[in-house]
Amino acid sequence: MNSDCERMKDQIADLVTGILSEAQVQEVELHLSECNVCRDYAQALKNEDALLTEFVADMDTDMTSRQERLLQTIDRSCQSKQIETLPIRRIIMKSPITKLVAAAVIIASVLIVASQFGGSGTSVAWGEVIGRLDASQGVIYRRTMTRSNRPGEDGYWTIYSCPTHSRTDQYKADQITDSLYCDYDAKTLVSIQHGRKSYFDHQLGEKAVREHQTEVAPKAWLQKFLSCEYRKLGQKIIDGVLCEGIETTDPALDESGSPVESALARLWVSVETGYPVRCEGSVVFEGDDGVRITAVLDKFQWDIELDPSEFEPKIPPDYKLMD
Amino acid sequence: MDDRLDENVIRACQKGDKAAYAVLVKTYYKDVFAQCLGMLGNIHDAEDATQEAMLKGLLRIGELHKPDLFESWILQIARNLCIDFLRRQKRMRTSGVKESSRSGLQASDDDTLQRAISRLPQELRVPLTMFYFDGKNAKKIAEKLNISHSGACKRIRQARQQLHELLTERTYDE
Repeated sequence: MNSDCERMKDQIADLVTGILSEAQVQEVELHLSECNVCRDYAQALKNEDALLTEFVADMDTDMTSRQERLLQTIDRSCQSKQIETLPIRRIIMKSPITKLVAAAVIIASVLIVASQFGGSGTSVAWGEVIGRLDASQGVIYRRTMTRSNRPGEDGYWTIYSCPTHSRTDQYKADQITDSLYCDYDAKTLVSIQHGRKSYFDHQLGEKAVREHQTEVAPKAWLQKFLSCEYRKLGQKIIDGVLCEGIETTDPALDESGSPVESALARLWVSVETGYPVRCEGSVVFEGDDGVRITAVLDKFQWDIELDPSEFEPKIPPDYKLMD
Repeated sequence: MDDRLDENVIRACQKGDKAAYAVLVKTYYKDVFAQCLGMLGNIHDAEDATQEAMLKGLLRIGELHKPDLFESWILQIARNLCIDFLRRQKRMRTSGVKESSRSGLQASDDDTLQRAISRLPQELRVPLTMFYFDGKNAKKIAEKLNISHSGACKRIRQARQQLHELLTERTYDE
């Protein structure tokens, strides 16, 4: 490296990024032809430039689906006639004489828009959320959980639940690692470990079945949430759906029995359907380590008729039955 | 989109033409998303904020008297929403509770580059993200951020240099 190198660093970055003025390009290229250190630096920046371009291109491919989700949300809000309300407001404002009167009309219009925004419902009836879950035939959702003291063990579960069966598929790095199939009537639990190519077949007692059912169905978690003291968060678009949210910091939310330093959980429910769209919680436990556990329940598909074949254990022929 | 078409589309939106809304979304979504991503440093939060900004913009489009200013107007709405979001996050942090909504997703995302970008200061992250989304046009970034061309170039350069340091530091850490 020579004395020019430090001065050149800015220009090399500009050259690689494509923002260096024509007049300076030649000087920088001459320096690069003579200096190995700066050539390596330029090459590293070029590689990163390619990474950035690829990163944006990847996101660009999802842009259409993001736009579609937004357009669907707009469609839903259009159905509630909110769009037609707006031109009326403009006409009213054209007359200065009616401005004062219009002010009251505008406020009323905004309130109408806000109330009609989610379709038929004006707001979420929180007391009715649990009842709605009971009426749902089946649900599929995702549960993501992380523990601060176990980095690298992050993963998520896709859960299929109906009144008679459940199935839980665990994923790590988007690869399925374990599957659990539970038949509540037959009281059987089949556990498949894909990594080890093995499976277990258990007969469960009544209590174990109930415990598993409670753990898998989101109802228990939501019941617990709604029994805590909570505050309303207002409306927000969550995963493309207009939702109303509540938030609690009640440590009672955690049922592990360990002393809790702080807790925060939020529940977002669709204004249109009254079904939960997203639940998220974070608990920090007392102690030197201050272990934090976070959990997110999302990607809900409520009230769906699940095909019985979804709950039949799919065991590849080369998997071994373990005792 | 040229100014005249832009104006026609916005006038149509103001009259309640739903098809015109789709045109606006398809034209401006990416710009708004790039800015939100730059400000929030998280794809999922950026998508939420973009949705909210576009919906808010469409609801209030009757208030826009100069259609040629739609782009800066919608970007301003998105900016304000992102600022609100960041304030809420800050309040959560100062009350001792970390925002949890995206932690699970971030933790499972092993994209080194995305993590490094999210560690850049916001004033560098925003122009960098917009620059790459906008076909590397520093002049456009300067216009959108209402700064000089040389100012935009400087921020993009600093962003690239700091990103390089973060990526190199990460490589050494591993």
